[in-house]
Amino acid sequence: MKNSGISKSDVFKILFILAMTVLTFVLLAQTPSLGTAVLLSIVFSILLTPVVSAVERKGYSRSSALTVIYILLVSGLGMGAYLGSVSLISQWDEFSVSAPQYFDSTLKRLETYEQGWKDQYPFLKSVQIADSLKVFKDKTTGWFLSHGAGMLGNILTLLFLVPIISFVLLKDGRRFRKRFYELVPNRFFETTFMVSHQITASLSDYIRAKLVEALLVGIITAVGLGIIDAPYALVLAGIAGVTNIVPYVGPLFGAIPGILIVAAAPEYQHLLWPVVAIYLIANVVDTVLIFPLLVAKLVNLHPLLLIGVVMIGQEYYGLIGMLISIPIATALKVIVSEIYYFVYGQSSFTAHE
Amino acid sequence: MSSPSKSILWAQFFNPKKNKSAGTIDLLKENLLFSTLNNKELIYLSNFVYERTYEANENIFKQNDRGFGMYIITRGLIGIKQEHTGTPSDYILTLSKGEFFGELSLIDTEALRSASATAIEPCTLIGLFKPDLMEIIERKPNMGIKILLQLAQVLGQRLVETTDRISELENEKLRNK
Repeated sequence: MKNSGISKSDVFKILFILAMTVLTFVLLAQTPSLGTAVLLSIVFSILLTPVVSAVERKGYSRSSALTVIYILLVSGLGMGAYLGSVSLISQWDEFSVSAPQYFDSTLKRLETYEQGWKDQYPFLKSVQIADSLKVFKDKTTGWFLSHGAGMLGNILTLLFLVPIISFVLLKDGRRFRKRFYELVPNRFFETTFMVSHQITASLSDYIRAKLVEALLVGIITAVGLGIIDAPYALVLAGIAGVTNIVPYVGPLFGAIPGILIVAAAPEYQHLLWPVVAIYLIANVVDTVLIFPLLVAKLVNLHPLLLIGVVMIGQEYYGLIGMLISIPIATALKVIVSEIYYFVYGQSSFTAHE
Repeated sequence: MSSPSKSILWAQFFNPKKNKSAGTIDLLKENLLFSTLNNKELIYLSNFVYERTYEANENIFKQNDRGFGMYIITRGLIGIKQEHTGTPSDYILTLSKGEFFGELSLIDTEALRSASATAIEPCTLIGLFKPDLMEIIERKPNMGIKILLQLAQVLGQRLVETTDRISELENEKLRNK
């Protein structure tokens, strides 16, 4: 019977798919600017998909829906950046000037404290906290000075490429998928179709949930910092929201700038504990409410396993590894679940529409 | 005026994609499930279906496989068989061009195929799968409702046929007694 074995053409198709997949990954990894643009475009198109579907429901074609959304986005972002975000931009300008000053004054204070501790406890003489921080600051400043122009160029390239690639993905993504499935041999077609659908749906849900989580944490922090009248509330809330995307250590990184500023500036020192409390409240609300309700349900992995995969990600690829470890684990879970079904004939697979 | 052979050549070599999708649309239009869709909706639907080619004796799916969608036959013959005892039995049903099978898995979540489907001769099928049907419902709800209503009608019809068959068997059993 034909289906008892794999034909030569099936083997060729499988090898071709594998070769193309490896080639694509190598190409994207070897050209980081293109890789970043593609990655961001995928995230951007995932974010826009529900909006495009909503416009399509009104009776527009896919292309018209996309055109309408792009026009609204460009004009809306332009106007928003000009009108609504003026305070954020001015805060950012002020913050970028005063942040190094705050850092220097904090460093000086730390040096004084450190000297005091060393005089009191001679065994601490080998500890060089302030010096290490000074080296870190010099290195970071040097890196920004030497890479600043290149970074600006990269950002401009991304601003140009990401909307275009996203447009193509949103408009023709289905056609690309069809071309891919044409290559899949019949005997693997339905399984490949469902597994890839399952992985795409899980990743899309995870990315959307993480971004909504970041937005909510940002809003809670902004409101809290605004109520106690802390400086640079919008910028600090923005940093807290963005860093919150990184699992576990993100909220800690996000709180550092705010705490550093109120600790360093004498006029804001009375706000130190209220600011710490705001970051703690935002973190507790995130841990107790937002994460379990929004993200954990979608990921559906044991908390210990989550910590494990994030640590493995950090070990091999640092911050990026921490960011992508959970989505990769989610995708692997779908594949493992499918292999389990194949071997034991019992499904731990849940249909994902 | 161009000769028919010339126009076929033109369609095959110069515009194969359009020709292929026109064939798909015609076939979808003839299918009971999509008979209430207008032309624009049929063109839209054609983006969501997958054309698959099978050789003779090749399995489309096996009994107890998880089902994710339905198939419409565009060319060839498909045999449906049930394997009650583990040994392959004869085909309980043979389907030809325009007929469809596997539609129950479009609405059943963890649906297992109730029978095996095998290509009796080289076949071309059009597949529509559950995630795509869900996407159609999300993006074009009116169109989705039309398909679902037809699907309900088909399933209802199948139920009536099954009930009639059971009654026939019961009567036969009584007669034999």
